[in-house]
Amino acid sequence: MADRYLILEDGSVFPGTAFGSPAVTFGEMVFTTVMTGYQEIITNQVFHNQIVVFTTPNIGNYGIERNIYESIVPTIKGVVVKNVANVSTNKKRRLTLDRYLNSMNIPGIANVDTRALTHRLRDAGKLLKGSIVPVPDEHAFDQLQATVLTNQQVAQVSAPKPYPNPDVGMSVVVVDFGLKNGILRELSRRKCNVTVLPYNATAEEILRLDPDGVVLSSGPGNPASLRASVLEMIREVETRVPLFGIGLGHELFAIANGCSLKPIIPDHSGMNHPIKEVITGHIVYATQNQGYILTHDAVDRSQLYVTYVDLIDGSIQGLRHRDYAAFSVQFFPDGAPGPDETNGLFDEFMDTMRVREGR
Amino acid sequence: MAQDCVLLIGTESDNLQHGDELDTLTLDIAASLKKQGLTTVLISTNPFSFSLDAKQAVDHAEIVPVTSINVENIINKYHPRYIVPTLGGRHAFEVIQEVAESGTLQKNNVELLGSPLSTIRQINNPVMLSRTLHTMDAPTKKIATVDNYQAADDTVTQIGYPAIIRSIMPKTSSFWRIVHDKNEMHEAVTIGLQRSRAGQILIQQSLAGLKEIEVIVLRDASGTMMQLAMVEDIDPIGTHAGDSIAVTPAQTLLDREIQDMRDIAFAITRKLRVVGINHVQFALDEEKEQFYVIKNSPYLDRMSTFVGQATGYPVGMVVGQLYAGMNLVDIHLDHGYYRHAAVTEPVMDRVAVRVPVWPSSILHGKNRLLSTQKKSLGSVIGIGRSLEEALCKAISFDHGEDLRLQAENKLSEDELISGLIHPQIGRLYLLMEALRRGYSPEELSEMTKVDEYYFVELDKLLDLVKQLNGHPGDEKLLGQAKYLGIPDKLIADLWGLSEGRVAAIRHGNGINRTYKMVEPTGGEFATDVASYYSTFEMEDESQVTPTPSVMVVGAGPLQLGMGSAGDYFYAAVLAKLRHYGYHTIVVNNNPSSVTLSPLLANKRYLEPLIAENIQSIVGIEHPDYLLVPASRSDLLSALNVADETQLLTMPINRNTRSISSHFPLYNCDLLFDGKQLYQLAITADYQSPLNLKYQSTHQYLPVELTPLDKHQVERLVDQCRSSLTKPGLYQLVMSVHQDGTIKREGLLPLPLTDVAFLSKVLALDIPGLYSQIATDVLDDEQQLAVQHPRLVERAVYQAQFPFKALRVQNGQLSVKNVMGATMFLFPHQNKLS
Repeated sequence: MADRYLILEDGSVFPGTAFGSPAVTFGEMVFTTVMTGYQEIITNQVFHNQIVVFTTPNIGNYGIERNIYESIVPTIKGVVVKNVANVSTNKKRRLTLDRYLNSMNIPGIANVDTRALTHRLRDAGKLLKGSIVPVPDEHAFDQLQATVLTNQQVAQVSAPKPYPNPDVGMSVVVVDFGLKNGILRELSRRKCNVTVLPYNATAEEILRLDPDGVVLSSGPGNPASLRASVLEMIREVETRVPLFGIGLGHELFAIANGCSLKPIIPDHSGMNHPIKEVITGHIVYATQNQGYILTHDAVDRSQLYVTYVDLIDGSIQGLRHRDYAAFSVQFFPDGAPGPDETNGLFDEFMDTMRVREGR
Repeated sequence: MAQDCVLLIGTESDNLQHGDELDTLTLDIAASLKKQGLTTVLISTNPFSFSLDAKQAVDHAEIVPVTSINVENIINKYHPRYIVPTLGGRHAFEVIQEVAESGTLQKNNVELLGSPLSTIRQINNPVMLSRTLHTMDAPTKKIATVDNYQAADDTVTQIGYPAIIRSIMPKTSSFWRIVHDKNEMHEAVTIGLQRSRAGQILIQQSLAGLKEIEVIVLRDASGTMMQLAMVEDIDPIGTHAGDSIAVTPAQTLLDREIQDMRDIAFAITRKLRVVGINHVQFALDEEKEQFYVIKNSPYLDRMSTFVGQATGYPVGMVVGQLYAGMNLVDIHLDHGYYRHAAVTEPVMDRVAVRVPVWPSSILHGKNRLLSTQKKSLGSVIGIGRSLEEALCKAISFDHGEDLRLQAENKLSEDELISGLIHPQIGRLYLLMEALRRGYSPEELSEMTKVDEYYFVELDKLLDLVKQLNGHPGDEKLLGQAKYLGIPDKLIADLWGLSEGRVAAIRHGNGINRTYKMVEPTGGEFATDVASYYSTFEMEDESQVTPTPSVMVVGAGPLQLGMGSAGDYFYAAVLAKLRHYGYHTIVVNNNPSSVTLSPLLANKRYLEPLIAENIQSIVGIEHPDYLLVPASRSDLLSALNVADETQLLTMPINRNTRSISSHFPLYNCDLLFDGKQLYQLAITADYQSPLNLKYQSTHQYLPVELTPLDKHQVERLVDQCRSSLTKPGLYQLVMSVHQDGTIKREGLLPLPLTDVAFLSKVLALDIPGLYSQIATDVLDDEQQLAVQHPRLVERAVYQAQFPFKALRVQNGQLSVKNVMGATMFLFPHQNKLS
């Protein structure tokens, strides 16, 4: 039955069947326990250079829907799942998942014992490299071992030059570290006049646009691998205009303000952890995709205070600056996929900008 | 100070609206409340309830009808601080509202758990509820009352076709019609207005054909809410949700749709201040990107048990703790779960389907059509790593129906199309037959409003069956077939081989079952939820249960004939065996079965109850005892059990008693332990003798016997003693003739329905005694108990039949059609004066 294999650097082989592109790819192995929105996951840049294992058994059930992409060109390195359905249901969903992945050069492998694989990734003790190959021979393993994965993920996925997303409301600059469309969608809903700048935009370039506020977007990879100039930009901008960091943007905001992060193994991707809002004690659920965590003792309390905590792993999920109108969250308040319960953070950002403006 | 007391309002009898799930949840919730230090009182008249007998959960069983007067009396007797109104279906809500309106709750300072009174009022009064939903901007279907044609026309123009037109206060018979265009509308409005005493009609938007979705929410007293599960029905609106095949997780919905429904479900749950569980049902119109709230049920129901078994989340235990005032973040689950598991939303790396089981034997002709009126009694769960596998498992119990579609092959094209458009019992097979005949998924989806996805998946199964048919013995196809969940039996039939031969080819080619844990984290955390299902993949997670162990093959779904009396029996046996230190392993496919409660089963296999699957589990577990229903001769002959396992048959058979007599009947219920014969009770049937098919569906005790009668009975019992060799429970049926003679009609196994009834009447653990005599004789204490059962003033047993609810005419009031039962018990008051 098997005509395609997932091989891991620890030597394990998972047989399966091919779908999507026939390309041979290499990537970091991560699993996601998210049960909804396969298309949003696959097109989220946060998974750049990663091979994503869906623990939910079925994807592709409604094909590809034109309105729910999270990026135009997905950069995920592969999709691993138990079953993939070959369905395209109506005129808004003309493409099947298989055809879509094929056209995007992304290989998929189905009929994999993803539960066994998840256990392997969970218990490996380190982030494993993997490759989707037609034959799991010595040559394939050699290539996998020899492959050095880039640590310049952000540079690879960030927009190379600025572009506008005009509307009639507040002026917002979004710094693109691997933006997902959900952030733009939420700002659009609030009529923000958005300018997206590349990840290496300087404070001067940002402030020259005289924005009402700045969003540091989510994105892939290790925040420590970004150049120090990014941190300098954050330290400058936060003193001047309201700032909202999401995902990688949150991690960078934390580092810029004296915190240090450490990797978690395996990466955490899901939407079912209880997250406590510290001030109210409320529990919320939100999509999380993170490879690094900030623990309580690593927060510089002279500058920041903690707003959200993940009850399961204890990781800090939200920070706010003591002196400036700047805050950040590790999770994705724009959902897509995921619960909307923290969607109000965008309203909070809007309020912050309005207060600042005196409107 | 006395412990705080909590009163749980139970059920009168299982019926079409609620079955065994409520007893199962009552057991877990009551045990959970008791563990929190509360004294528990349960009011119920269901003889098949295990909870009523379960001392580990219920301190005081009150076997009286669930009426407001009785509830008030019990309040005055026990002075409970709390009442749980969510375990007795809608009836309990109605009763509690009456009790509240009498002022009893307020006077006694009793607090309602689960649903506040204001919420209960709204659930009891749909108009109030829709007003509430309206004020919170929850989308509901459009509805209007009009009194003239012009207004009707305007309204329909506004809400669109199809619309439902209904007469308000109809003069004679009620009138309602679904209209699709202006002509139909015109006619319906004219008739509707004429027929109405008030000269008014109700115009409703029709939601028929839309997707039906249920969101299940947990909420604690602090306001924390989480989504327990989302369930999608394969069948569209128009078929009752209980008669639809349900799937979790949701399969064909966009995340955006899911999150929108989640938001509304949370908002409603918050607004209604539910603590515990809430079920919110939606109709989803994908084309118009619009959805509607169609129902809200803030009480425990069949979906509570289904999603509990599907997700591995211990619903009853958690809801019990929420009722006890704990918050989700503070709930600590048993050792098998990680910290904060109770407040982590369950995720699944499997597919679970719930397939309804209909009382087919009494549904004929037009009555087989499915509608908004529920017709199924029980259900089975199928869990697999794919939709196909889950479905195959769920339907593997269907006798005489399989993927060969032999009956459907014979249908004419017209019959098939009519069957597709008007859903009926066994619909899944019709859908497949249409695929087999070459209709495309797209066409079929258009015709049936079933999502195209399901047809695409079903087609894979049919394709494989076709290939198997053409290639007997092909090992590669065999591997694929097993991977998709096709049972050995079907492959054997297709290949003209024995089932054993297919299994041998399978083993020879290394195509073996592996077991996966049903746990709520998708493998993210190391958990040890002792619940498993099988598939054919690499990793196997099931570890052998420590000895001594006993494995029980469950009685399966709730069906006519025995109701849940079989589960009652098993539950009592399991409780006894656990007490003796056995590790209990339960195999069942009925998600609502009480035997799956963690209080009774140390380890659960959610598997089909067919030889192939049972054999495979026996092969891993090597239990000391294997308990199989005596009626499962198919299993008994097929199972290959190692020497160290002792096979015991349980008297779980559907009742086949067929004594008919014109004379009144007495039943003498007997227990034989291999040495001695004990007389447990004598009951009399009281159904009208005019009913010639005279069977024991209604009985009472004690029976007033004259000394002469007694003598005659003793003599007949003595005669039995000599003929008995096998230890067991027996019933001597006797007829009382006009001249006063009592004659033997037959000596039969004691029906399980009677075991359940008698256990409660006599306060004797008869199933426990049975498990004792199956392996040993009674000890002194047990002998004493059997010889001196509780005395009662009067106890009455009444079987319940589904005929009225199913609109079946001339239904036979016989044992084989029993749906549930009610009992009344008046214990003997030992007055010391």
